[in-house]
Amino acid sequence: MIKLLGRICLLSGMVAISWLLVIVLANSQSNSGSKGYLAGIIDKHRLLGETSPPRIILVGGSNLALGLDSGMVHREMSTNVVNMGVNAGVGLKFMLNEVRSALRSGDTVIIIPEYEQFYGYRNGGTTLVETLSIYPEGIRYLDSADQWLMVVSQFPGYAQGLFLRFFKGFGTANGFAINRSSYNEYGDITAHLDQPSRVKVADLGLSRPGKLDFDDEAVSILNEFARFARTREAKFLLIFPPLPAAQYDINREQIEYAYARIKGEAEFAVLGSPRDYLFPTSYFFDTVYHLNRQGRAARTEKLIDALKTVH
Amino acid sequence: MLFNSFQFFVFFPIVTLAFFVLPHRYRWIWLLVASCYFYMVFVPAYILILFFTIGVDYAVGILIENAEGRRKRLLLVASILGNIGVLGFFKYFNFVQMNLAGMAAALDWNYPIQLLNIALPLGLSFHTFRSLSYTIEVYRGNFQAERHLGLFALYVMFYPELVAGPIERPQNLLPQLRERHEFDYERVTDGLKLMAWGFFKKLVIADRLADFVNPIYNQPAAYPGVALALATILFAYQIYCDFSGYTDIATGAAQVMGFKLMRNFQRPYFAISIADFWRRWHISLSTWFRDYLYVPLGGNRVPKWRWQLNLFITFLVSGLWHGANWTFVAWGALHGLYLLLSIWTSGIRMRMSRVLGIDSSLDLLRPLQVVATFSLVSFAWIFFRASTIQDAFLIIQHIFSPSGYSGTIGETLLTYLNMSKVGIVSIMILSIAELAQARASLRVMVRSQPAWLRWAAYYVLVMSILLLGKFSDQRFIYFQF
Repeated sequence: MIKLLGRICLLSGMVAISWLLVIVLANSQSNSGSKGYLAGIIDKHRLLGETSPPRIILVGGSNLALGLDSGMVHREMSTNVVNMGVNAGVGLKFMLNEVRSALRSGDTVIIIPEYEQFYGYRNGGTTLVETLSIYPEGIRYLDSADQWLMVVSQFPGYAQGLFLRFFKGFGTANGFAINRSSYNEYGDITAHLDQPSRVKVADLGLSRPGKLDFDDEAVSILNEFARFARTREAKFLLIFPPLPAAQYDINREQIEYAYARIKGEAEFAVLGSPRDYLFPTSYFFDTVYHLNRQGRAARTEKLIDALKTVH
Repeated sequence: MLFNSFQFFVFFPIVTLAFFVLPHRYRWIWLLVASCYFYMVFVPAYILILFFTIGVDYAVGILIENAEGRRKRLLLVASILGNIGVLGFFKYFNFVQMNLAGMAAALDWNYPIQLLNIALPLGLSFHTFRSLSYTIEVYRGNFQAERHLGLFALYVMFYPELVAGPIERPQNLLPQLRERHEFDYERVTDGLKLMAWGFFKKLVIADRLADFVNPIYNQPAAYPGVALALATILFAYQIYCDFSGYTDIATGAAQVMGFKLMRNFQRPYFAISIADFWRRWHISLSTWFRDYLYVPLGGNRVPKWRWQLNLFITFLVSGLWHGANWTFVAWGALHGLYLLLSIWTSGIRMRMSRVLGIDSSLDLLRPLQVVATFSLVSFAWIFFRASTIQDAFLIIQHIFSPSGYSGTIGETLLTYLNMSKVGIVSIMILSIAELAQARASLRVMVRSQPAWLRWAAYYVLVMSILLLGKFSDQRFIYFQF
């Protein structure tokens, strides 16, 4: 048995060194690692620390980074705005934990979660592992066994994604680079705004056919954060993400079910409904959550109108 | 618990290490507890179903052995009804209800359809069949009833084969559960290598092919014939690698601990006829149906027309076993029809090959037979994979319609091939490996190589799995059965 364990350790060592090599080489690319899109998280945390309250803190995935004009929100609401949105793949829990310690009296946290957060992604995926590899301080935002299990179990998927992208190139899939330097002073991305729409509308795959795999725990996490926000004399509210109307039609059942559950169980304000943020497909850029210039403006106006009802 | 999950990555070494460390007399308890945990990761309450069938068949086995005549037969019937009843309730209740409702609607009758909102217990079809084979073998006098409840429970619940087979016979597995198994370096490393090969087939081939096949088969109307044809061929490899990959992992895991499970696949896509295919595909199931359905129906020891009817019925039931959907029944019926056609046309085909001069040239005849068999099997997979019978016919229509290949077919084909390149390259590697296996066992071949080459192969295999495998907890196809 000692001989076998020795051989397993030797093979594991060879594999681990190879993996590390892949990760180091991949992260040295110009649109990857500490220079890539996900590295925006580093600057957003600095922005959050440097922006004085009261603030509107936007929490969510890339629907915020590539779909909101935070400058317009700042001007219309006369409040500082910090856009913390990077990628939904870090999971609902992580993105809420990111802002927890920075919350101050008078702040308003607006969560705009992609629908996947309610259908299996609350603990994130490989993007969380990649984010932590770029921003190791983010480990302090892992506070549950589920999240740790996710990180450990997704590590092979992360290394794999890096390996495949290493050969295909990073951040040029859209014909232009989106990287860390693409974020503006609020944390928005604008490089894509005038690009032609190439979004493909297809089933989001939220649930297995005929099933509604809604994650009961997701609403509990939101409620817990709402209670925490109240202890800090901060507001917490939820708004639904933008979506092509055609996309909504495909996933209507799951989206409406999520809406009904959130509305029925929320201990915080839910502004509007999913149908309030449906737009023509031509308003979207490359995914069903990323908006072009026209879409971004329309969505931001709706959001501001909703915010004015509570501010 | 899925084999391709992080949980199994932790579960397997702990269970195996403890197995070797524990004294022999406690090992069965440890394996039983581990198997219970393995199953309960899915839906904990469903273990009660397992306990029910175990309890019934344990008691019935002992009673059958001490009974005679009518009482003996009644006890067997009780076991069959108990197992098939559980299977029928969980797996076929809604299917029967929906069909009755459909028939009633066609006749303009009012049928208040009541559907059950229950999830199918995983592996139900496998462990009920395993349990049934036990009571039947005891009834036939081929096996002595097991008096040790714990060992019998372990026979039914042995975790490597618990949810997707192989469907072990009691004669093979139960005696092994009593034997002392010591650590043997060669056997353990062979088992680990088999597991690695299984993971390669499942994660690199099957799951990568699924990425290509699933969107096409989920919306067949949106794709041209060339895409549907390619998806069908790739599905043939997806299901083979998915299921045989699972079996390799199960067999390897058992082998590590010293248990030898039955072989379930024997290079099925090198079969030279449909009959040969069924001697190579899911062998534990096909032999189960042969021994417990086909032979009791009379097998081939009855008039010709009855023999052929027995064949067809066996394949129909086999299709239904795979799922509560008419597509599976159609798949089974098609294979039954293939066999009947091969019987009816055997004379003509022999004469044709004589006329063409290929009957004496195995080098020419064999590849033709392999290609023909693979084509027939792939065609049948259309029904197996399609969501509905209508979809299956739509796919067939598109595949065989010239308009599905119009335009720049070469370019279209290249595009789709490019989308599935990891899977296709892996299929080529698999095919080369299986061709080589015709001469000698892969393990023997690898062992005879110099150490540096062996280690390079192990390294490449592990790195392929880690860098090209799909780690998304994608279920094994046969789990749904």
